[in-house]
Amino acid sequence: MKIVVLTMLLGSALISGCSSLGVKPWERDILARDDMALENASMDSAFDDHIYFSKEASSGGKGFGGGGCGCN
Amino acid sequence: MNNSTLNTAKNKNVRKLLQSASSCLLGATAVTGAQAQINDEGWQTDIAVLAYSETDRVSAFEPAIAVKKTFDDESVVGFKLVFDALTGASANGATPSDTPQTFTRPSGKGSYTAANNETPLDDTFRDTRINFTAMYETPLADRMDKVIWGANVSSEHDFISLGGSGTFMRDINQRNTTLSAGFSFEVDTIKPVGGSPIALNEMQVAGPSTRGGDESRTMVEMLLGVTQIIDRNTLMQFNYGLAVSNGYHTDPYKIVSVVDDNGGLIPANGLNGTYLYESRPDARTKHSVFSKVKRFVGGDVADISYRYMWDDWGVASSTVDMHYRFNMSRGWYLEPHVRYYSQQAADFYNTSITTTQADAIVAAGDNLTADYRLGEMAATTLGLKLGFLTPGGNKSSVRIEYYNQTSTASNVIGSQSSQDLVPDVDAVIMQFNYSF
Repeated sequence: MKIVVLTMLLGSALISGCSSLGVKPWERDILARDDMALENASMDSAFDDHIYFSKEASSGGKGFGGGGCGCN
Repeated sequence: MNNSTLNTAKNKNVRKLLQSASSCLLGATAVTGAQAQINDEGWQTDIAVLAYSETDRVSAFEPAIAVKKTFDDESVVGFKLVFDALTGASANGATPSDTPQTFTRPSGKGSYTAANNETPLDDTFRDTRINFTAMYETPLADRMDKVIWGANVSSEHDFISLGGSGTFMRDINQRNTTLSAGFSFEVDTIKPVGGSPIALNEMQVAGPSTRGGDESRTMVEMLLGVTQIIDRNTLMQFNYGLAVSNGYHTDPYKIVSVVDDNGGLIPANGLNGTYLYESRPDARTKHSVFSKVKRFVGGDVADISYRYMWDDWGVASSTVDMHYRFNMSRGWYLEPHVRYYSQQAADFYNTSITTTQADAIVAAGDNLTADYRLGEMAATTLGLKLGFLTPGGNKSSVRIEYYNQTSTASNVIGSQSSQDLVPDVDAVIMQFNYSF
């Protein structure tokens, strides 16, 4: 529970701090590039997540960690 | 605008569509408002084939296809189908010995042998898996919010999984910040070959033995995320994940060697060694924090992420993942990849145990595993990807990666110190992608 509260506090701090960051709508040319998408190789990521889920004791983080796999 | 310009423009849109929807297909990857809203009439298709091969162990062949469509109201529908064929041998958890060892197959109907000084591998490992995913993304009234729904079905001959998820996303700060909150659930049914072994029971010589039936497990996950545009060249993402699972977590095919105080085999139950079926807790709570930075660097793109994960089994891990994309002319690019992972062992991991330790664990009903995947481990991935446009203007890529796992044994007993108890695992991964 402490972790959840701590995360929420950290999240709030981030959000308030974030209000001074960013760009104007006309400054998004680079950020709109294909290769600047947060996930620009989703097939690769999905395969990798499945491999590492099967071979290591960790999963998730960037997305949900359930694997729908009997391998771990 | 001539035909080729039109085609190029359409291909560009199609590519952006694919990124957006397939990201969603995979779960709650936050997408910032910075990414363009795109409308397109057609279906976008993304196909990929992956080959995974470990030295002397498992090989996998995985074709996948994903399709999606974005509608005029900015809603997106997507489907993905993955097929998985696995063959080869898998470490059964027992330690190598200076004499040959015989093990009963999971079915109880036969046996296999590990030569002296050889890591015992169960060569009956063979499976096929079909995984189907569907997603639906819909914007809410003011288009600053959206909801992504997902459904997942996965089937193997000894495992069935059903799951669903919902993620709410809101853009704030003039779409410079995206907040997300997602929940998912999963219900798994495990149907071990030959029935589920009784935890901590000794392996018997091939033939009838007492076994349990099917088992089940449920998992609920929460994922909270913030994605922030830092400046014109930089994006940052921060996630916190919580996963709580209840039910059967044991691997029904893994065993633990019980040896004498000198590390020698103890013949029992018609076998020339003593082996206990492993036992894992019936619940697990995992936490993760994940952060990613993406930066445009003079025409190239750097992508760096870090994850720290910890759970109530005593496992804690760190993962650093780095990609650097060198953009070249005519849509070609070269992308090196480096990943480093390290984990500390679960509290109940022992590479093997003595009879005294076994008696204490069995009497107390404690948990026990020798599955190296729950032991202390470091893993390194080195990869290279080449991306290119086909003559028709479609995106394509190939990548090759090398993956190495180096494990550290625990509770090494007597003469076992002369054995390579948990040898390295080396794998090569090759993949081909094509989008149209």
